[in-house]
Amino acid sequence: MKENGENMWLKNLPAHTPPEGMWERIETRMDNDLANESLRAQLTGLPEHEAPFGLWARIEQGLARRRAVQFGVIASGIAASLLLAFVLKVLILPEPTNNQPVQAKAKGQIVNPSPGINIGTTNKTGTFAISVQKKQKSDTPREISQTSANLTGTEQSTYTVQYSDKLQDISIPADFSKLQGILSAMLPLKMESVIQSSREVASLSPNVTKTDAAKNITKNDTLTEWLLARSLKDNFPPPPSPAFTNQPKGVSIGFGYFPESMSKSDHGSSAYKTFALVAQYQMPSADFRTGLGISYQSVPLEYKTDYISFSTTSGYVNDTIINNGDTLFGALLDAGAVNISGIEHSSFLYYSIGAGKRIYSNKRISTSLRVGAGVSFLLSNQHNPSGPVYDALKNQSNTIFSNTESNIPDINQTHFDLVTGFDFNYRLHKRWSLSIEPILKYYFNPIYNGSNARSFSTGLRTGILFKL
Amino acid sequence: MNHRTNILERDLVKGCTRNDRNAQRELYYKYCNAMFSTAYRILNDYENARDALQDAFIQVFRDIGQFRGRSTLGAWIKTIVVRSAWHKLRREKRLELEMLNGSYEEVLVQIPEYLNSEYLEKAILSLPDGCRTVFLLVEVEGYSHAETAKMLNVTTGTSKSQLFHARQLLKQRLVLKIDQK
Repeated sequence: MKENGENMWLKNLPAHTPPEGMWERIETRMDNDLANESLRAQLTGLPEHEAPFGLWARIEQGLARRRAVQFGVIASGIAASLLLAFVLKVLILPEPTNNQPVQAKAKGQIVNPSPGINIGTTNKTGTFAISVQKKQKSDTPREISQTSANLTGTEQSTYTVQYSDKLQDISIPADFSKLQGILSAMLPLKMESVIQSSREVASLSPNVTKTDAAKNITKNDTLTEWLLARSLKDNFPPPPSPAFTNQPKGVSIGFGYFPESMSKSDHGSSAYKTFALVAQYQMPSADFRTGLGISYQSVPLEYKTDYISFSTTSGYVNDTIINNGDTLFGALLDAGAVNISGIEHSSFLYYSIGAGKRIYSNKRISTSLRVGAGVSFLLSNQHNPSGPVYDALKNQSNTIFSNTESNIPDINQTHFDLVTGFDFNYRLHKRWSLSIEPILKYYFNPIYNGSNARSFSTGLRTGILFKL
Repeated sequence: MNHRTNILERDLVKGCTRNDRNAQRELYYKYCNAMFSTAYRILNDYENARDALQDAFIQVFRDIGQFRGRSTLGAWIKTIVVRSAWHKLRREKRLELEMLNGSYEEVLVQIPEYLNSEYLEKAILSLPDGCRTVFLLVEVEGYSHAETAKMLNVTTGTSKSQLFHARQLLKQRLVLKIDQK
């Protein structure tokens, strides 16, 4: 420190003392911190609880169910998209009929007519009003002229193809009722490609009014254009509606996979998988289908055994897990009532019949509303509590179960169901088709004896069919 | 050791992302007891804790692709378990955590050494649901008030006031026990 410098005045600053009780506050705070540390140390020693036995099996079930749901959502999305596409097609696109040929149909009919062939005769009676606007190539400068005609009488016309290749230029609009549209569409028509042999069979009273100085517009030209359109329409009807043409009678066989989920059964959620052989008899607007297969079901069960006892010849049983307590030694162990959970796996022989009413069909896709019934016969069932309880026992090679009484529900040997679904059939090839059908199933009798619950399930029937 | 653990965890995460059932099982058995203890203490009910843990692990396997390794895998799983348990608690008990009035001065909780951990846990489990959850998250699991508030979807002030309340009640119950002794 500088004794003679400018910092000397610092020595004369007033001294301050800490407030009363400062040490006590520090002391208290230190005690608190110590106490808190002690509390936390003791809290870290809280006992650890073991996760419940069988929880992993439940999680596995949940994961499988989630996958099934995802699959169902995707399938439902596809089904909904197909349904939406079908509805849009029905609502928006006009159905081709005999009276209203679409452009493509008329075009298709006249692509390759042979030269000289008679392509039709028309008989027209009545009054026709015609109005046409046309650009005349011969006019200089080019002018737009409008011609109107009111015709009364009957004219019979015959049209013969002379130059078939040029006919490909003809385009016919879908809606013939719009006269102006027809005439506009007919303008590119090459008149020299068709020779008209018209003859009047009744008086034809043309009243052609020239609205301007147009030239080279004659009655015949105008009538030819108009009548040709009519002729094409009358003489070349489109092919009949394609509905049901791709669904002839016949028998198909195939293979099906039917995942199914029952979320409201009286023993929690269960999942079915059915693998089946399918046969189908198909008629134009309906079909009958039958299937025979094997169903696999897995249900998580939790039940309490009333009494379980077992003995070993080695005189040692580890029942740490069972009683959650001390290891017992002895030749005989009476574990009393214990809770056991696990998954019951069952297999059934499944037979079903059903009938479908076709709602829509085209070359590729058909949809049907289907109802049917099924019956399942129990083939086997096995409860697999694969967990530490049994592992502990299995480790004792000479462990013998001597007595087990439990209230695990008995499964029904036979159960019946009603099923309804909406089938989407997609034709992959001439003989192969793919079927996807979301279903709703109702079980008449419960799966487990002594249960009052009747169950619904939802599922998806998928299959591939081969037409014999 | 830590490096080895990280490699193991990374493999587990990769396996779970591929929906490898063995990896999922291994992950489950690695963490199930610790996670069940947390869920059980929050819910104070064996069946509900089991359901919450089941939901949590299904969510873990569904969302494991989103685990970026910013925290340990255990911490990430615990967050999901806590949220699952808290969600279940709120739904079952129609619980709304509110900020309590009063000062939040530190309450000293002294635990005599002769009280074993089972009794201490019983005392904690006897606390009301809301403040018990906050106490467990802050004091037992070591989350900060901000983290706790975020997980429980409450304000930091609510978390602090509930902890104050929990400590007060715990102190009373432990004092009672000491007096009985």
